[in-house]
Amino acid sequence: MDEIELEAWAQRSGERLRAALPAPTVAELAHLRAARSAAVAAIPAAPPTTMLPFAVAAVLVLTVGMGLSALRTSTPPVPSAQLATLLDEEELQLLDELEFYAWLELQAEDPPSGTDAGADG
Amino acid sequence: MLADGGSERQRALDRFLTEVAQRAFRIALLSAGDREDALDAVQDAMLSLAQRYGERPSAEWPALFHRILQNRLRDAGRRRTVRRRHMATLHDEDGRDPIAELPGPARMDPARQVALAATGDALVIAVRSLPPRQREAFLLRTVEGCSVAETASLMGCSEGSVKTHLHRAVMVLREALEGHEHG
Repeated sequence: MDEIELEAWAQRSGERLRAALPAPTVAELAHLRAARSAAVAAIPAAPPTTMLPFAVAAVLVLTVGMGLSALRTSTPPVPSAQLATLLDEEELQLLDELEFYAWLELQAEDPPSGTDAGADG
Repeated sequence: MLADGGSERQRALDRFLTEVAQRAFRIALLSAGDREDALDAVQDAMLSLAQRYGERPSAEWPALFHRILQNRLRDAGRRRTVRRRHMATLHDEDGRDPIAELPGPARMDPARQVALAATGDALVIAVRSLPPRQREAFLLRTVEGCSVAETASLMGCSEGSVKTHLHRAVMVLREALEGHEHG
């Protein structure tokens, strides 16, 4: 049975089936109409459109609030002013060290004057 | 049918259900065989579509509705099978097998089959005995006149699968109706 023959047989069967089926009775049609009305009435109601701007605003406020809260908890506990102070202290320490090494160098270059005087005398 | 106060979505659903109601009833009747079961299945499918998928885009409704209806029909078929088993258990003491007495393509008297063939009922019975997916494809393609693409969309399968189901259905039906070929 090729495809054309199969399709033709199927179509003839379809016509025969349609003819064999008794049409819906008046009571059945009424039942279907009632079922349709009940279904249409049962569709979930969408939120009223007048409330939409308020809902969007509320969601935005919540989102911003939560974002700010998350930022606060994730920021390092050291404030920026203290950090600047720390840097300053480090710099001061470095300067002290530089002064110390410069003084040490000078000490090495200039022999103590007391020793020379003793040798001369 | 809807009052003026109905929303646009309600009007769209009403139009859709008006279009498909009778077709759904035909398919349900050919699948279930019982007019009350068919009506119940269509009613449940309508309500379920509205409650669960009423907010979905209306383009999705045909396939969703068809799938819900098929599920309802399958459930109804299972309930019928359970009822028959209960009946069989109840009547065993009489030595009778009520299942054997129920009309069906395999158990029907040949003379009655020939008589029914004159009115097309043998074909109806044979269609009812098809596996669900084959029956679905056959009914959508032949009784409802859907294209292969429409049938595939409603059944949620490929066009190739639709052709395969239809081919197998025709082979089974031809064999079942052998002896009173209808043309």
